[in-house]
Amino acid sequence: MLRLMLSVWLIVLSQDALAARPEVVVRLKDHLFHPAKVYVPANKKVKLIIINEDDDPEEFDSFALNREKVVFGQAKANLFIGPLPPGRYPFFGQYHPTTAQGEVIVLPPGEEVPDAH
Amino acid sequence: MLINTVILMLRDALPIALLISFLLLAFRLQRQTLVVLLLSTVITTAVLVLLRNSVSDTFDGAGYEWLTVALLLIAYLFALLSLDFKAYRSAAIIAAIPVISLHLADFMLYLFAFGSHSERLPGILVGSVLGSGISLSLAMLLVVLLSPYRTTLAMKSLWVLFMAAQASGAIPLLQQTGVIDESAALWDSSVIISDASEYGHLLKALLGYESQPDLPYLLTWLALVGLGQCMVLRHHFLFRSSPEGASS
Repeated sequence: MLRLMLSVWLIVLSQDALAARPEVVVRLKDHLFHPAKVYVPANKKVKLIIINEDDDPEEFDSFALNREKVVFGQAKANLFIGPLPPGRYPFFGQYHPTTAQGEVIVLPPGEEVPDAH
Repeated sequence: MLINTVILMLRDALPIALLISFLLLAFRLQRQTLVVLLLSTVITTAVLVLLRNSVSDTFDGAGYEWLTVALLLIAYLFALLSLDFKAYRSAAIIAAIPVISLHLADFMLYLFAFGSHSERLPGILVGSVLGSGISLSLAMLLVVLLSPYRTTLAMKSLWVLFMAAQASGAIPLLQQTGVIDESAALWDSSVIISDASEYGHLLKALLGYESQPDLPYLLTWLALVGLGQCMVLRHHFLFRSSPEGASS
């Protein structure tokens, strides 16, 4: 019984943790990432949701983040990054590396996201 | 498009060429076995390409990562079985099929997506030829360099090291799905050998090189390589006097 209660508690706890996980949406249109600069907090696991609005597939690729994920045309894909220390982590579209470029900027604790305007 | 195709070919064709080299060196495969490998790989690759979109949508978008992890584990387990198993050639073939098919499926996706654009076709074709040429040259160089040391122990040891490197690729995929947390990079050797460079691709394919590895990756790599080398030594010292051990 104790084991069952503990299991339920762990499931609830993990659901809470999942619910609290930050999410960032990145759109891919005309082989460009929008936004090209993705700000995320330090030391937190973040879910990146990549929505490909082009008809061609694209591969989200980053050597710095060690991530590779194919996103089909007119489709979306999810991937997790982090927890990461503060810094800049470039990413690119493997199929259009000259145009599809961006970077994940991990902000130190307490630092605000710069105003885009 | 040309340079990009060469880079993609290096990423996907180089491990395939190296794997076939190891199969030829360590297991002395004959034509019939190679035909079985070719046919099985074509079928598996076709299934992966056709199902990729629908598989990707499962498990909250992580279906293809889970499938890849499962195939890499199967490949590693059969690589271990190929050391200590009567039908060692069959085990080696089963180990090779998932690794070749996964790389081939990645490249086929790119070809299908952009090969239909007629203006891009020349660049893709020339890039494919160049990338294949570089991969084949490196694989042949490996065969020539290793042929004098073609002992059972050395070849099996390198075979298992190569397969452990491939299987270690499961860790970034599990981190990508959110199952394993990342930790800070243990070191950064990208100034010496960048992951994106030709040497980076070669070392990644051969040894599972990462310029900024984290603890989960390093521990997994060490465990898989260590287990494989223990199995190689065990098999070598237990069976070296027997006809079976000598033939394998």
